[in-house]
Amino acid sequence: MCEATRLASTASAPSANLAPSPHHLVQATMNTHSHTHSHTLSRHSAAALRTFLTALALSASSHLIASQAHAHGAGLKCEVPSKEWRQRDDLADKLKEEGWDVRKVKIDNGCYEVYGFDAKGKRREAYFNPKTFELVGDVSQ
Amino acid sequence: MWDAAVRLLHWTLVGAITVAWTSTLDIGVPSGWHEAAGYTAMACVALRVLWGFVGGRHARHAHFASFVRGPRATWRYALQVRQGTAPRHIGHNPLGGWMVLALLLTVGGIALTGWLQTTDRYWGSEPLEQVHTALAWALLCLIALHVAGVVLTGRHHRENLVKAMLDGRKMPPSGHDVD
Repeated sequence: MCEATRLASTASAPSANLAPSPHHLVQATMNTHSHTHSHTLSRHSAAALRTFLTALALSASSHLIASQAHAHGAGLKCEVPSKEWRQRDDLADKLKEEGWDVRKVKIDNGCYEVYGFDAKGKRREAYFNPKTFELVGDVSQ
Repeated sequence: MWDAAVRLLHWTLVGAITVAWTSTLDIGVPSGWHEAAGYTAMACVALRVLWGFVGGRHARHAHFASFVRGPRATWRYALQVRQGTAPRHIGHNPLGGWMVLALLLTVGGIALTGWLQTTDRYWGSEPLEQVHTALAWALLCLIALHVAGVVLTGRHHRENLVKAMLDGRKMPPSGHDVD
């Protein structure tokens, strides 16, 4: 129970709930009582939080810059009429014969998008032409 | 009453979820932002959970212990909502409290299944992608309920709860309000 604010509000405005007006507003920072946590913990947590948030902002922005440099599937496009597409299982089989570990084949930007590991064991997210099965390019890993 | 950390984390999370969702829709938000948005969301959840346990004394309303209520109290509150007699809460009301937990858990689950797909072990994992997607839709439903709850509760008590999450201010408690 927040006694000070209750007293303040009942003293100045018994019907505060019915007739809102700006000067009856309170803030958490004004409630300086009845709390179990010490000043030290509060200051400590606030400082830790600030550090966390700064680190978060930095890592998020560096991540953004990095991901923009190799935008996901950017420029990896195929234009093949739907009649001319070959089965995605055929592409998976072909790659497996070449030594791939094929995890998933999706369709993106008109290409087959293959998630897997190539014959050298390298992790790949590779785009293939759905008609010729030629490699269009990779999303940088 | 909402401290700065709660507000900042709330709106950062809103932004991260918006970017994460729209980056999958091919509407101009680069799909390369998806992962950064996911890490940001995960960080928001982690910090909010931390804050829910160790937040300082200005963060009283952020403490899980202050707003996570038992099933009986929650049920009673739900009945009061139906009757239109629900008391005003300065912090989260019992239903809102459970919504907070549901949202945090769901975002955490989405972030976890998303991150796992970037590991060698689960690279290109179909089942994980399905769980990730299902949770993302579940999150969308939860957000709709969350916003509906905020609008209806705000209307019932005639106060702008969105503004409270922006500037941290609310009318002081009076009458039968629960602080």
